[in-house]
This record gives sequence, C-alpha cells and structure tokens, in this order.
Amino acid sequence: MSRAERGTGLSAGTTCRLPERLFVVACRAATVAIVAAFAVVAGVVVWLGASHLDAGFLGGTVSRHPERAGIWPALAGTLWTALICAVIALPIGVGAAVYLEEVEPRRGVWRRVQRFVRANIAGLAGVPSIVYGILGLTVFVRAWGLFGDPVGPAVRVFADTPFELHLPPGRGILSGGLTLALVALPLVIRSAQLALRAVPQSMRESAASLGASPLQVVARVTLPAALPELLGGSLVAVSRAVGEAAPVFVITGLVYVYQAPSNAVEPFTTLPLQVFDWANRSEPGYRELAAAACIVLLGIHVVLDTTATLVRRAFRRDWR
Amino acid sequence: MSEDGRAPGVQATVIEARGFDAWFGEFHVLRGIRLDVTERAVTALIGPSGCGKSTFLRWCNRLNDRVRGARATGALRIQGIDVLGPDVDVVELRRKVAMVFHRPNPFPKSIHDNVAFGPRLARRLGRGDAEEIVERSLRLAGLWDEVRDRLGRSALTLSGGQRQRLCIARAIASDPDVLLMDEPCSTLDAKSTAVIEDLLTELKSRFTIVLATNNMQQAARASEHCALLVQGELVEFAPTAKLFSNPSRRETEDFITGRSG
Repeated sequence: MSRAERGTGLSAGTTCRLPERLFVVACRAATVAIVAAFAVVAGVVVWLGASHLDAGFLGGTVSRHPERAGIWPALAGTLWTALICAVIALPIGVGAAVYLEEVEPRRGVWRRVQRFVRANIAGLAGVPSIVYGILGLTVFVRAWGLFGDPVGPAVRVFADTPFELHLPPGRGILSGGLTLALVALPLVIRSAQLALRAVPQSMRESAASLGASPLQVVARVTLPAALPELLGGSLVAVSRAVGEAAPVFVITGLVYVYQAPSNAVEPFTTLPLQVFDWANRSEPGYRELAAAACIVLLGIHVVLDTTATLVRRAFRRDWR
Repeated sequence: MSEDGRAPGVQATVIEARGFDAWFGEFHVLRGIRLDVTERAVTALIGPSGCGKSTFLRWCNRLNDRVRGARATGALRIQGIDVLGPDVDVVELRRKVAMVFHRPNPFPKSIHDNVAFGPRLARRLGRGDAEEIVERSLRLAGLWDEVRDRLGRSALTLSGGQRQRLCIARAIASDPDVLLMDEPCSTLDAKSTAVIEDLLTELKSRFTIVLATNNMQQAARASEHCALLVQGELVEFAPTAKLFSNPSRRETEDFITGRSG
C-alpha cells in the first residue's frame, strides 16, 4: 500500500483543528527526540573515536599502549561468530517457521506441540540474552560435564589443523557462534513466520489446484515468494545477535587475545566485549579506543541492515 | 462417428453429482445436489452469493481438503472417478480438473514460468518442450500476441485482464479435461470480460467447462446448460436457453428477473 493511499489528512497545518495539530506536534516531537538522542550518541562516539580509525587500528592487535592498540582479533572473532550463527540459525529457523506455518500435523500430540510453540515463540525472543549465555556455557562449552571437567579437552580431533574440534567444545568461536545462534533463532523464526504469512493464501491454492503436492507448494511457491522478506528479517536477527556482549562474555570471560582465531576452539573475543573491556579502563586513551571500536560495530550493523533492506527492495512483490 | 467412437451430437457426462451434500463445520452449504456436466460444453452455475457455487467447484478438484472443517457426502464422479473416495490421488485429480479463480493470481514469476508451472510439477521439461507448451497454452488463452516478446518478464507487469488470461493459460498447460472457473470475470472491467467470454467459446471445443458466475447475462451468453442454486439447493437445471426464456420453477423466474437473490 502506498503512502498516499493510507494518508489521513492529519497535519499540523492550519487546515486541521487545534487538538489535531497538538497531537501531530507531540508525535513529531517524539520522532525528533529519538533522532536527536541517536545523533548525540553517534556524534559523541564519532568525535571521540574517529581519529583512531585507520588501517593500523583495524588490522592491529591489543597492546598496552592505547595509541598502538587495534581490533583485528575482536573483529575477526565477531565475523566468525556471525558466520557460524547465520549458518546454524537460518536453516533451523526457517525450517521451524515452515513447520509452524505451513504444516498441518495429523496427530494430536504434534498439533499441541505446534500450538504451544506458536504461542510462545514471541516470548522466547524476549528472553534476556544472558540466559542464552548460561545455556550456551552449560551445553556447548561444558557439554553438561559429560566428559568430566578436566583442565584440557577430553577428546581432540583434527588436532593442530584449522578444523580442530574438542569435546567438550570449550570456549572457542564454535561455542560462541552456537550461543549467538540461540539468541538469533527466535528472531529468525519470528521474521520467517511473518514472511510466510504475508504470502497470500491464493498462491498456495492456485499451486495446489495445478497439481502441486504439499511439498511442491512450499518449495516452489510459498518459500520463493517469502524469500526476500525472510532473508531481510534473518539478516536483522543475526545482526542483532552479533551485537550482544553478555552471552559471549559468559562463554569466554574477558580474555586477552592477540590474534584472529585460527580454529574453532581457541580463545576468542568479539567487538562488543572489546568495547566493554576498554570502556571499563580508567587510564587515559581507552575511552577513545572504545568509541572507535563502537564505530566499527555500528558499521557492521549498518552494512547488514542495508543489505537486508536492499534484498527486500530488489525482490519486492506486488501481490495485487 | 467422431474420433472417440461416439455418435456426433451425443455428448458424454463428465461430472456427475448425485445426492451431494457439503458442510463447513456445522454449516450445511450444499444439499442433495444432482447435476450432470456435459463434455465440451459450458455449464454455468448461477445463484446469489453464498449459494454454494464455489463450494461445488472446490469439491470437484478437492481443493476443500485444505480447508479445516470442510466435508462432503454423496456421490461426485468425474469421468468415472469417485472424487470423494479415500483412494483418489488428489494430485492426479487436480491435473485433470484445473481451476481458474475469481481473482487473477499469477505467481510472482516470469510469464513463461507461470505457464510452465503445472507441467513442470509432473516431470522435468526440456527447454524446447517448455517453449512449445507455453506457446500453445498462451495461444489458446488468446494472450500469445500480447506477450510473445516478453515471456521472461514478471507476470505482475500484466494488466488485470491479461493476468486472468495468463491464469487460464497456466490452468490449461497441463492439458486438463475439466476447467473449473470460479467467477473468472468478477474483478475485471467490461472489455476484459468480453475478451474472456469470447475465449470461453474457443475453449469449450477442447475442455469441459464449469463456470460459476454472479453475472446472469454472462451465463446466458456463454453457457449451454445452466444450474440455479439457492441456499445450497439446486432449484433448476436446464439448457440455458430454456432456463432463461421458459423457466419451469417460480423461484427461477424470480431470480432471473431480479425479484429475488
């Protein structure tokens, strides 16, 4: 629906009566307040941090001297956990959404499961992310203590290669990415559900009437039609998850990492954690470092959100 | 003798309903319908909104399976197949009994891919096969000359009337026997409606058509047989000319003269 079609004629202009004008002015003030608040934050961050932003900062590593410090280990940790998070959360989230929206279970048990999950998935998206952090610590880092609680890992495979894996998985990017996937999943499912619901019922019916089996209806019509919205929403979910500091903090603690992670199990850190660490220091110079890292973090968000918008726009469907 | 061995002029019954009842939940939509749809002719279903026209069509290809609470009893046979039977292959049935909806609803795909959708469900199509099917179907639907240069463009670039003809092309691409049309012109302007009515006379030489319509003039113009449904009951079923000129029931006369419905 275009903007003009849902126009109400409400405005602060003199053609409207006084209460209406006051209402419009109040709403406008709310909008301006949001923009102003964000502008102040962004302005302070840029003013503090912009001078640090250079190739040395992006490519450098932690240092005792703030002017020489860089964020490469944290940036790499963020990108790797984002990738793991996306690779895990997208297929599982989309699969779950398809089950919740497109499948009609025959057996009563599964109907009840479906109804229960449908009713609670929105609530799951509101669970504080540190709860997922604790869950990740128990399940991914320690594997419920099933392998004892030794100092080192109980089992190592592909040792000394980039594919080295441990049991229990320990405090590496694998555990971090999986934990962030837990944070992202409810959001991915939610946005995928909305994307599927936005596909008109008539699409499914006409596909079925052409002799498409239920699987073909989903695979050839519903999912492709929902794809742009679905990808856009999922990118936003992943972007939200990688900005989380709390769950990663539970997984890794505050560690000093001097290089980008070279496998899935060695200690790592991420940008939000790096910001947290630097912002907490009282020595001069670190506040500016924290601000510069914030700019990079914001940059990642802007890139992901813009990609999401472009994906939506490039494939926009006109259903009418 | 015609090629299928029957004497010319003697037409076979394709859809046969006997004592057919349908419900949505507690709502008894259709009661004791007895109806014979003749091969290669247009049979119109008329009646006020909510009389059960669409429900009847949607049972003919079992589209109501997808609706919770919908059920039907009695006999409904299409070319000898017991449509309501537990063993009927619904996917196979729908390939034989295609449907055009009241609102043109092309997929958000190219014109070519819309038409090739049905045939591709059944088997992999080579490029040549697909092109042949697409051209034949679009020609039958009277759309070929308008879109031959832009088959790769999105179907959503077409006008409403063109979209509906695309949906007809899509429906006939799998070479069905029966074409169910559920008020196909209800969202179209007079000109597009006239184009589709002309198309009906072409299509009925190949397909058996059941046309549900709210437009009595359309039924009078385009159909050979006409059934009037009121509140789920079949009031009268007769050759169209007779039903409109010399109805045998009082309710029919009231309806076609606009005194009820």
